[in-house]
Amino acid sequence: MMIEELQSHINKLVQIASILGTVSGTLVSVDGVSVTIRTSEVFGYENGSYSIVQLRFISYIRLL
Amino acid sequence: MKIIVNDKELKEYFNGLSRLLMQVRNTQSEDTEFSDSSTLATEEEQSIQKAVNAVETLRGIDAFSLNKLKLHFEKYIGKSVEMLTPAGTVEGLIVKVGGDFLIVQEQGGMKVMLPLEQVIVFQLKGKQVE
Repeated sequence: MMIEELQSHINKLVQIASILGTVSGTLVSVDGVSVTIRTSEVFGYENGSYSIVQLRFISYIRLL
Repeated sequence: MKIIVNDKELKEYFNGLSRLLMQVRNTQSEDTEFSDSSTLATEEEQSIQKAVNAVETLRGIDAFSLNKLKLHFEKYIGKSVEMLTPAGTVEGLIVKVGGDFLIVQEQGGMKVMLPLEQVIVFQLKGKQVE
């Protein structure tokens, strides 16, 4: 399944494309409904910036 | 099959579903002397599976159609293809087909993971006629 495949790419750089556009960053986590990527160089929820994308809206994921 | 429902209808559907599950549970508890705990667990498991399938069907993601798509795409592993998705076109060789996704390797070597349900158009890249 796609979730398991994505989990093997955690900590790698990805580009997520949806109908509204693309976001690039480091894959942080994957669960049954969403994918979280860190879009900043800085770590941590206080200082870094993160994008959480719903799996059902992802058109494709480019493994950079 | 795709069903379009609004929030209210979906809520009513789940309420009805939970009432049905409760009824099944009550019926089973009345018949406990006839069935052991393992049978009960299996029946509950089946009820839950039915509910999950119903929700999947409501979402338009039918496991059967995904499997059909998977079987279709497996025939084209190693072939050069063009996939049209809502976010644009992905071109390359199909390198892997999973249960609900496929991986296409682009000309530069980059890999792209595509959920099968997001593929709008699939085209095999034949010889270009000038």
